[in-house]
Amino acid sequence: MEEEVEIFLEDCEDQLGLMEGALVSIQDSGVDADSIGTIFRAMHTIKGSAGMFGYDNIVKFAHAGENLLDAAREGLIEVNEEMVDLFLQCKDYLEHLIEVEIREEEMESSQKSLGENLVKALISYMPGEKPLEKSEDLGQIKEPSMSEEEILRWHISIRFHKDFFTTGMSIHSIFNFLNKIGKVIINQPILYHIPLLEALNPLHPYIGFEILFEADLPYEEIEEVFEFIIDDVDLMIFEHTDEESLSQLIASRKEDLLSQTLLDAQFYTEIETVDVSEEKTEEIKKSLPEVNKPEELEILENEKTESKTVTKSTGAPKVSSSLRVDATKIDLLINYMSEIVIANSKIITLSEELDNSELDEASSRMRELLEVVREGIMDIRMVQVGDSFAKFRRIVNDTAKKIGKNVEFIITGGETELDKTVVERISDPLVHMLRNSIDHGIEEPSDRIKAGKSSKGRVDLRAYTDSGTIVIEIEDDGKGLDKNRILAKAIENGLISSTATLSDAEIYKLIFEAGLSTAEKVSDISGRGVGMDVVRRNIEDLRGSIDITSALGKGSKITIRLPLTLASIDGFLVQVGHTKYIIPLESIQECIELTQEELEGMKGNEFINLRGDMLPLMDVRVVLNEEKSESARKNIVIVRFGEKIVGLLVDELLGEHQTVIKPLGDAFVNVTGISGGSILGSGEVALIFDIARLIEYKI
Amino acid sequence: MSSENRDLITYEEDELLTMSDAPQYFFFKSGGDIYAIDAESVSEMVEYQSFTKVPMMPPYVKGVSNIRGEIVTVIDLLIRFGLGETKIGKKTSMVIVDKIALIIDEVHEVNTIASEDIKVSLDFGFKIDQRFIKNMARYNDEYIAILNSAEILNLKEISIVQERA
Repeated sequence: MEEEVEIFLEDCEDQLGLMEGALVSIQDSGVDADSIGTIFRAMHTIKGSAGMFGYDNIVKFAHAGENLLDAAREGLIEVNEEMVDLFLQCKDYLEHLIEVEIREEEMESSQKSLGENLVKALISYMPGEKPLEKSEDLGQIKEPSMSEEEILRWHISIRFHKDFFTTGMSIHSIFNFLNKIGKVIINQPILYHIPLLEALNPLHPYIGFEILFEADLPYEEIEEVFEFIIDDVDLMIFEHTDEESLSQLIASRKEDLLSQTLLDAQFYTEIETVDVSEEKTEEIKKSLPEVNKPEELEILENEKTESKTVTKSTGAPKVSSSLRVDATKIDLLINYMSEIVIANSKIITLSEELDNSELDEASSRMRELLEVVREGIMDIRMVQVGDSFAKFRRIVNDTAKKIGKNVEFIITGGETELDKTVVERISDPLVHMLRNSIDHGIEEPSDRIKAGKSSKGRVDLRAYTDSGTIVIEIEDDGKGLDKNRILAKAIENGLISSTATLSDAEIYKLIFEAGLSTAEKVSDISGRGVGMDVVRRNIEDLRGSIDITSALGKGSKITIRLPLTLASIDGFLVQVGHTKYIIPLESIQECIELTQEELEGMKGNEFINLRGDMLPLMDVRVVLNEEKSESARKNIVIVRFGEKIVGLLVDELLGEHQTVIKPLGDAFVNVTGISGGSILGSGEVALIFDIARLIEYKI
Repeated sequence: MSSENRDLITYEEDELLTMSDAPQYFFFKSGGDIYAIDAESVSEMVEYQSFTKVPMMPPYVKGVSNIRGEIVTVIDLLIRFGLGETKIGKKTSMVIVDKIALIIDEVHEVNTIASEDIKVSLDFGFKIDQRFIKNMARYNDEYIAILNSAEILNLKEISIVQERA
């Protein structure tokens, strides 16, 4: 896909997201002006950008929506529930339409008629005054006729900055769009700035245009045609009859032949040759203070004398505080950053060997600074989870509606930040679990009342950070998990033997196994027994964990723990046999030494007495088939994962290590307990423990 | 001067001819025998370097190594062929194919093989497994195997972990 089309698509996705968010908020908490405004602006922006790209069908459809929204915004009509539903449908249709248009495909006829029906429905809500005229609008957005005298005429003067073409916009599409919303009467190219051939840079747009444009539109709408290029052009728009602005134009353009050209092109029959000097322009400007009229212009000196930058001071310039950056650029930066961290740890190792205190100091300072930069770069990738959570609202509402349940959906902690990749990859699993909660968790309203609960079920989606991990919880106040049913089902499906004794937590965890669905009837929402295992897989792939607690009759809570970021972790380096391993610092509770007495006290068992508690030990060498090393002392690294605490028996503790995670390669996908590799300062590769899997493997 | 120039030109033309004509092969020694592998599949050759053992892997998967900041899988080709272990010496090298480093005795050369010298492999009779051989080729008056790297590096097979003893 071409870059600018991609930007267009992203922009549309953003706008559609905003639209949906606002619509759902209306569904939840009633109509408010802000939401209507948001929906209108989103619709309007999509129309505008689609126009710039010449996607006429999108423009037509969005225009119909925009009209109705405008009426709602003006308070001419009341927005009711039906209309919100209609707008949601329109949003979905628009999404589909945008996809189809971008792929330059033909819309299927069923969809096409859906679109037509939606437009009809939109029109049917329009205030009674002039529904007919509006419907004409939709079909063929304004066919301006010369005979109508009251149609406004605008003078548009445009000069392009020399790097205009780098915006990816074409001049052609501007005219296209102008002709869509009105009619270009005269189009006079301005050629004075074209240099001699030898001085001509083919990448620069030397041309300018004086346009006489006929459209019964307010100033703002005409200006919006240029919304996407406003920073890359010198633009003046004023009513054709506005002589003062014309004088200003002629003065500010500093093109000797301009007035003659305009006369020749029959823009005007006569132009008062006002010799507007610089000061005079200033005066004029001053004489028109704060008048919210399109004529108000602010004239700025350009550093080059070739032209003047004319910026309109009304229609506040978009001061954008965010920047859209290609994610691959950040990934590249993170990669380089990782390399620098590795290179620097080599310097640190060397400076320790050389025992040079100054070098030591410098390299330590370097490490601190690198850490700051690394965190800064990582931070770019962090996004608030709230934006993606908001999308779930609709899914929850739709799901509940479809199966006739009454659900209140509450999101907390939307401001929690998480790596964008993680957010994207967690989205589908969360949708799946939310659907499950509503479908299986929350009871039918009648059953809820029988159970002494309010008929409205409640589903909570929470996010918060907890000691270096992010926790996402989905909690419902439904019927909870039935241990016996799960157990029976698991035995029936051969997942466990009928004699197995499992803890409650272990039983609940069975729902994440493939092929276990306790739903009595399979609905199209959930209950096919595929999914929860995929959910677990997805979360584990992100180095996260998933747990479930439940109380029969009271509800269930799913807790997901995720690392804040995927690219690096704080690790602790240990030696086992000939290999160095990294244990994620966040899972380490403490490190102790295994004394001779303790060793003897074990009496061949694999646990020690740690301050009165039994601590199961796991000899990493045995588990991973490592060779025996000669280290006399044994160290125990006590790791915790969820509720489980295990002591890992290792040969040597080597200290903390800032770990840049690299994939080990496809050959090692089946190695349990190891999640990746990291390159040490010495160039050696250390293996990173996946504590959750390691513990699971042992059990 | 002018003769030098002409030499240069003919040399370049030669290069072009060989490049466009026949596929290039990378010849190397493993366990004392010469093998060839499609040169296009080889991304680079490096000196032998130490590696980190990864547990639970089949014996021929030696571990992982850091090559220019990337972690690559290290496989001992000789063990893969079932012909013992590669003896590490001065000339021991690693050939990188598909992000996997194959340990070999020494690098021989990169050259073409005339199409009439390429023969269909025998069904049996060669000391390495038939499935590792793509074709046989006459090279310096002896028959050598052109290796089937896809089969040697078959991920399904090499990723099978070994259960604890």
